[in-house]
Amino acid sequence: MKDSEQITTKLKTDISIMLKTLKYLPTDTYIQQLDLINSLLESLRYYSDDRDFALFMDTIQYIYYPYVCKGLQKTNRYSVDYDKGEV
Amino acid sequence: MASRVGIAKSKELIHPPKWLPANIHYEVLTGSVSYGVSNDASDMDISGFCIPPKESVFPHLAGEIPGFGRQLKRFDVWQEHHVQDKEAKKEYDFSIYSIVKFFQLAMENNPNMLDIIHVPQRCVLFSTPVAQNVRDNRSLFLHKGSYQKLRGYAYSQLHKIGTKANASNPNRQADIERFGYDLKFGYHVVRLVLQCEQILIEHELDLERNREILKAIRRGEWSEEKLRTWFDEKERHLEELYTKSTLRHSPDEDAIKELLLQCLEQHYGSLTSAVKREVPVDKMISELKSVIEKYEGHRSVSF
Repeated sequence: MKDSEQITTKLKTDISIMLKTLKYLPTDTYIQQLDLINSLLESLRYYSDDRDFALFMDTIQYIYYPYVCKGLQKTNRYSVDYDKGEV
Repeated sequence: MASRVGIAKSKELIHPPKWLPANIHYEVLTGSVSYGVSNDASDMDISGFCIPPKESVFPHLAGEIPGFGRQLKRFDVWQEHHVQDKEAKKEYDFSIYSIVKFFQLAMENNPNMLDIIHVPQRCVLFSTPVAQNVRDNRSLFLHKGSYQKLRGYAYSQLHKIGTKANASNPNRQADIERFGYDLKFGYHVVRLVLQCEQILIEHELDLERNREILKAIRRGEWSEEKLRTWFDEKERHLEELYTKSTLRHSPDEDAIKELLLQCLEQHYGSLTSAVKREVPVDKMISELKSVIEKYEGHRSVSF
């Protein structure tokens, strides 16, 4: 595997994990993690070819984005049932 | 570093609730010391806030249904006055508020609470990171309601000047006989008016700013007539200031509540089982969307 491939594979893995865990984070950490994802995407665009990057962005749009949105709406971590005291 | 309440309790000088000494977050010297006008004979007024047990703040966690059956006793404040420390040759007055009560009163711009969060650093006796967070964000509490509160307190002190006897305090009775009025009431009138002026103009509060004027009044250099004339003029001035001031009209309750929740969370740990808190889900989603949209041109299908 070429160096650039190793780098892009690692970057994609990191970005995927970070996207998947977004829904568990409190608001301030969420924003920090988004900033990090953004900078990793910049690196990925630099190291990968256009087609590979476009495919990965498709994955983000059609898989991770709906997954995070749904997770955020469902978890709504601090909206608890007042009577039961449970999430 | 131990809190003064903790030290006094260890000497068996005071009788606070058992849980209180270990849950103090903020202790400061208030009163004349914080205004920079104290003398050796001044009492030590120690004020601050604590965080009571979780069930006292969130009674539903202990199974209480509001309005039904036995209601848990709420803790608002613990006060103990004229505490003699013979070793240190000092007399203390303690007032430690529940953080919830403290935030409520500070949000209403109660002058005593404003003093507590604005005392100079040298008057801070004990402070945890929770208290530091509150001090760092103290500007959140100030609003134009302080005008009514401080002016109201000043009126009350002015009214008391008319009382020409103070049987409970021989020194102040001596002042009345010598200068014609109670100097302590007089200096509080001027202090409150000048604090109000400072808040409306600067949106900040430096308690020591007016110490020389206050000291002069305490030395008896202002006659009662001068003080009353000064008050009448300042009152008109304050009315104008109130209209012109760009200070927020009323408190930002949401921001203050968020600060309170942060403090409680720092103390108790997660509040997920105790309180309903809105998460800005739409904002979080739109932030994510904007990150993806930056790479619009790099996708085979548009978003």
